[in-house]
Amino acid sequence: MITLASWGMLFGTFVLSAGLARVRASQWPPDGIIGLDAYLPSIATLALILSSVLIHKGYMRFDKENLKEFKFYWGLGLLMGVFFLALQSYTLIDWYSKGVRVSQHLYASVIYVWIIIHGLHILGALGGLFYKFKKPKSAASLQIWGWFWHFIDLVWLAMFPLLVF
Amino acid sequence: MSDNKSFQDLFHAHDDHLHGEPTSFISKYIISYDHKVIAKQFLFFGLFWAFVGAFMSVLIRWALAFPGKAFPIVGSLLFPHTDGVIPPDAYTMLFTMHGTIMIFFAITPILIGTLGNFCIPLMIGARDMLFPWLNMASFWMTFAGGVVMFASLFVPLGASAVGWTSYPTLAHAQWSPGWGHSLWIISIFLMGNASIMGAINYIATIIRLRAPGLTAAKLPLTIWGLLLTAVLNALFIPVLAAGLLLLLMDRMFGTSFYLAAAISQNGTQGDPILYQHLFWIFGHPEVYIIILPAWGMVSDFLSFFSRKPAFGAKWTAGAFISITLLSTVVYGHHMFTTGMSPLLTGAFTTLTLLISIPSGIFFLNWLGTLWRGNIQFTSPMLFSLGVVITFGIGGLTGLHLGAVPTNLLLHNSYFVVGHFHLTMAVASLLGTYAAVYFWFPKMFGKMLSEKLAKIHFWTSFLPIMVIFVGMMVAGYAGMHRRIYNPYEYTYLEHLLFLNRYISLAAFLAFASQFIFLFNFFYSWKKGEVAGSNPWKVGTLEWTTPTPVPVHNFDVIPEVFNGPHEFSHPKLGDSRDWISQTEYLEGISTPV
Ligand code: HEM
Ligand SMILES: [Cu+2]
Repeated sequence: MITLASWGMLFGTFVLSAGLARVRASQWPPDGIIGLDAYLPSIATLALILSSVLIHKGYMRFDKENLKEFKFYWGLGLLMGVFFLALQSYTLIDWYSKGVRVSQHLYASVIYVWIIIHGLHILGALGGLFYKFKKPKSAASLQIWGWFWHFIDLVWLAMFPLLVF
Repeated sequence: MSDNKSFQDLFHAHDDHLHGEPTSFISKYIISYDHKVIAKQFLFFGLFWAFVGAFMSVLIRWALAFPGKAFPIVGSLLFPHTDGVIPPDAYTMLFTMHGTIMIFFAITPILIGTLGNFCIPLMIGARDMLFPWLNMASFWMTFAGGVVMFASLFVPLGASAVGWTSYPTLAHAQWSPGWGHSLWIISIFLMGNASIMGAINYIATIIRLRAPGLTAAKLPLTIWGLLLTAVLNALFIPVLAAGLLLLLMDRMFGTSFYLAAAISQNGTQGDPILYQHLFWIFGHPEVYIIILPAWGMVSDFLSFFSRKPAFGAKWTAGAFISITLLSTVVYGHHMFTTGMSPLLTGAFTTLTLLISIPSGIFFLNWLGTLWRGNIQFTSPMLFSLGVVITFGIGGLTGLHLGAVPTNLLLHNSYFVVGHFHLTMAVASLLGTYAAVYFWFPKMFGKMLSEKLAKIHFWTSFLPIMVIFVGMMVAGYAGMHRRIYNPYEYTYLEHLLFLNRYISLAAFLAFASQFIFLFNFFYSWKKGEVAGSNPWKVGTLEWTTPTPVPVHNFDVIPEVFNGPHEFSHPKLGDSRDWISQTEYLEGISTPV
């Protein structure tokens, strides 16, 4: 819990600064820069929400000592997470190949930096989820990783409208 | 308490947790999981940096006292291009690194790292921290931060020179080129992460591993201080981390989060003031992060050495809690001159001044503890009284800074420097010394020499008062902070005398610390052997044998008394103290 509060402050700060940058800007996205396409990130967001639900289901199954269904739901949730990360990476790579650079404009800086920092956390969380998928030891440890996953998903839900629309 | 018991079982019944004696040198002293060894690692790490930081302050004071004169003996070695005169760019590096090192690499490791690690498990009756592995990682990450900071002293173009607050626009690559400041950011980032890891461990340990019967009311105030510090650490270092990360992006990847449109390369509007907000949202809690453990320890020591219960101990703990809460919403008083709206400045002034109410409460409790006590002037007590005095003066000067009309005059002057040294630097330094003198017998099994300790105290305390009260006078007379040669301004010329006086006091205070170092190493080897409870106090750490076994307690103790039950009439004439673990009808409450 404390750990999450700590992380919450980190992302809270990021979200706040993004919000400020956005409120101050006269135009978002600004002129003369290729805006980020909202299409793929929206699909990614849906995948992420679905993934949270699946992970939760998996955890409930484990609690009921149903190992097989646990593997099914948890694994599917994991795949959805990987899908999210893949879409996000593709979005950024595509944007980069269109010539948008992080230093070009505050708009681009915010999107690149925020998505990458969030993505790194997603990557770490996926590692944890995968480890628990292989070796589910106790319900408590699954719950901790589950919480972290839900938390990092919520963070994205807070960032998503700020960054993409 | 049944709840606690089950946690005890959960974490202590397992054989793997009751770790045996580590056998190899590495597992015993280097990659150790034992909180007592980690405490010592933090201690030596902090002592090294404290020496570096203190030496820098001597250089700074030399430049202010004897501008244009070569620094004696080692000067020409340090500054070969100027024949030993401290050049202006080195001066800015010196005050930046002095502040950074003292706050993050001297006081924090010793006061929080060493004493937190040593005291928490022992004082709450636990066998170790809840997560010993995290504890070990926290030290080594701090160490990595220290290595990066040390490396930054030697890069081309020099170390960071933008002040410990690292404000943009100065902190950007165009104005602070080179690796110095980037390494500074990376180092603070590592150190911050380490602190968060430590803080999470402290909080979890204090919540879960308290011995049966150790209720909130029976918790030593030391532990209260450390707990609240950890809470602030866990919540506010992330804000600094995010702020610094963006600054690093600006420096390394050409973004412009903190640059105004007119000077940013891409012409878009970032915001330098945003950084100041983020820094002080962290920065104000940080000053309490540093002082809270010292307050807690002093509250205990005053009681221990007055042989009297701590006056209003519950109120003191309550005051600490309300200060912790308030400290999160006053940061704006560092930014009154940034042109914030009068509505905001008014709000921040009010909130800032509100802090004096709980501060007044615990301060009066301190005096109440001393009142008609049977005072023993031992070394921990002397240093604690030093904290009472310096904090009293320092705290009062905060009021002048907290009120907008006087702040506008005093901001960025030596008055601020005097203020924060008395409150944050000196009060926590003296508190740290009190704690080291107090717990050294438990840590190293020997007594420090009381005689040397007293010489150390007076030769530190008196010069310190001269230094920092003198600085406030200088600030009141209009002297800016962070200024290489004040005497270039005619209206500051007459302050040369005052500054020389301050500097001489500073050299004396610096020299005095060698008395401590000598005492420390001499007594460690040759000091009088300390028994298991030389101060005759009742807290749990003194119920363990000295040297403390790896698992601390053979049997987890049960706690019946508060930490300050001194001179209770029921105790009779033969003694004036009772251990927290001893059951005595009429004093104790059953578990
Ligand atoms: C009632 C108590 C206090 C009040 C009202 C107060 C008020 C202030 C104000 C208004 C400033 C900003 C001055 C300026 O730059 O214009 C300041 C600076 C500072 N205070 Fe306090 N303070 C109090 C207690 C403390 C304590 C307990 C600590 C540390 C433990 C502390 C540490 C600092 C530091 C480090 C700075 C300067 C930071 C910098 O600019 O480098 N203060 N204080
Ligand atoms: Cu403040």
